[in-house]
Amino acid sequence: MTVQSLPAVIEEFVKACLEHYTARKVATRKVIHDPILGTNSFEPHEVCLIDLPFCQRLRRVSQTDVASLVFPSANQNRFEHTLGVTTIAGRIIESLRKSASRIVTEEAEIQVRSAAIFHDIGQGPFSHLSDGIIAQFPEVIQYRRDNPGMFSEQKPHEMLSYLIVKSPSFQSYLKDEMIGKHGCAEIDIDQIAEMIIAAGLKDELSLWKAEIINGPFDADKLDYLQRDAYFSGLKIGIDLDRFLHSVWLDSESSPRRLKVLTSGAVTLEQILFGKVLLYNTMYHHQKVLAAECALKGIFEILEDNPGYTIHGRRMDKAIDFLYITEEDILSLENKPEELRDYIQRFLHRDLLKRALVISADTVDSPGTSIGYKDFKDLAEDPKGLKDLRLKLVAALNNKYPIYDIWIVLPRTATFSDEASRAIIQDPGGKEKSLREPFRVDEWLTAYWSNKWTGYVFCPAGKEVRNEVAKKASDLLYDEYGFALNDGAFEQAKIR
Amino acid sequence: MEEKRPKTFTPSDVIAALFVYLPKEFSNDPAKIHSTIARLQKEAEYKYLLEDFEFLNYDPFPYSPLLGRILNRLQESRLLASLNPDYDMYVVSEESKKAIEEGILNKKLYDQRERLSEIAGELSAAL
Repeated sequence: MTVQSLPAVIEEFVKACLEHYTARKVATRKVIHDPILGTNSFEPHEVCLIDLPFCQRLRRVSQTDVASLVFPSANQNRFEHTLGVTTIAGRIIESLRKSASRIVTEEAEIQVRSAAIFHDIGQGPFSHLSDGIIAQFPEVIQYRRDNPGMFSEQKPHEMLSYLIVKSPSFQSYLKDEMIGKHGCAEIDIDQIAEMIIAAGLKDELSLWKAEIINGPFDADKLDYLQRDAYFSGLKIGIDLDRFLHSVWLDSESSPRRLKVLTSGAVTLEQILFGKVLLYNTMYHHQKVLAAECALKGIFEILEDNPGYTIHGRRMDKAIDFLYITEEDILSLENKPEELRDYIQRFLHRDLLKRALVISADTVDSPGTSIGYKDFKDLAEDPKGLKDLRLKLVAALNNKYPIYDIWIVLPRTATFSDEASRAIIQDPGGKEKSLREPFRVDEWLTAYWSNKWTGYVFCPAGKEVRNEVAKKASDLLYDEYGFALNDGAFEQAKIR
Repeated sequence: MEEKRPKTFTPSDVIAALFVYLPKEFSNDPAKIHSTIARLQKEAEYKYLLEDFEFLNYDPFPYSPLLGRILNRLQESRLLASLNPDYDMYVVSEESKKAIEEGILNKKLYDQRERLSEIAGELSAAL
């Protein structure tokens, strides 16, 4: 099969989006209210960018994929988040002006806020869930390979956002709109794209701008940590004002970097604590993971049935995820019976249940089990993990479709990159990384390691769950040589 | 063209195998660990073992997200620990070392022992 290049299909997508789009005239700045960030204003050229179909599409992309099935008020979307990131990026710029007014120009502000507006335009339906699926597509893997150092570890949506901004049609539109109609100073649009991925920066002195969008304490984190906590009802906070008082730009360093005064270091710790708490309580909540499996099952059914489509799309290419919305996926119209059945289950919140709970707490002698390490390594190997699921389905005599049997290994979070890159400065001018006074990253890793939990999910019913638990436990022993203790079964709460 | 040999080991096997040659306790300084692996990766004799780690040109040191995840995952699986209350040293227990030697080094990386010992030596010197 020939793989069409990612930039080429992105260009087609951009053209299609702009083909029937007519920009409306925006003469004055607009005020937009936000429950977290209050009342914020956006310049006319920014309103034009926000009005673009690429950004408006984000109104229909859930910020926290399917978490609202567990946290009912977590219905925030990527559009709200985008406005939040833009607002926070603007506030950081304002703070930096106090320390480096010569560097923090109006042009820099336009660039940084534009990058914030576009940073998520490559997000597919259900955000991170799409990312996980898209990451396996050949054209995405190929593009990564073809661009070593640029996209090695970038999330697929960052890659797509970058490519949209880099596409010739998008660039031409931006030049007409921002420079031609709105009189913005001549800005480097390529640099906006580079800021989104924080890589490939041609001008090293611009690193500080990229750090505002994609850095150790960027506007993205500062928004999503507050927003996801607020809308889910979790009491996790960040003192944004304190952060803004302590962040500054060292214009003398090379490259120029954002730094934080010691007095504001606590806000950086709050960012890391917030991240680990949100993962633990929301993103990796067992019911959220089970709901994600229900949706992933729908995509696996599509993959296994060449005749099935969503709005005429096979959903086997990254670009398909930019053309369709969450409503398209969950609509029952014109869908085959098998897909309708799984969609209906999702809509009725008829979710899979735990059969086994797998963690260092439920594995016998984890510290000496190489098999347990090898099993956990499957988190980096989606194909290997699917093969193991297929073996489990076979061990269950194919009584249950593979779409109903899941082995879930949540991806491990890291903290040392952020803690090492975040620079704090004491009153005497001495600099150190956030992790130097105390290894906050290792402390959080220890916390994370104790909380990390994997699951085997299966259909509801005491008998089914017990059967799957037994077969899965036997399979793990046969394949990886580690045994599970009673806790693995008890914590699944099969009643 | 150089023939690509199918690998029977994973990047996490390589990192775990280094523990056999490292002292029981060693510094968990990510700057030194990532910088050393990034440097050795460029040397022809270690490329085969370390080529899966892609490094981002972060300031102040090159950082491999995969290496970061592996070190954390090894802690999740209890083969590696960080010492409370300072958390500034990694610790690998004698039992874990023995299990790694038998289950990884001797089974999956037997032919690479010399190279691994050299990498661990460089790492030890850096830490």
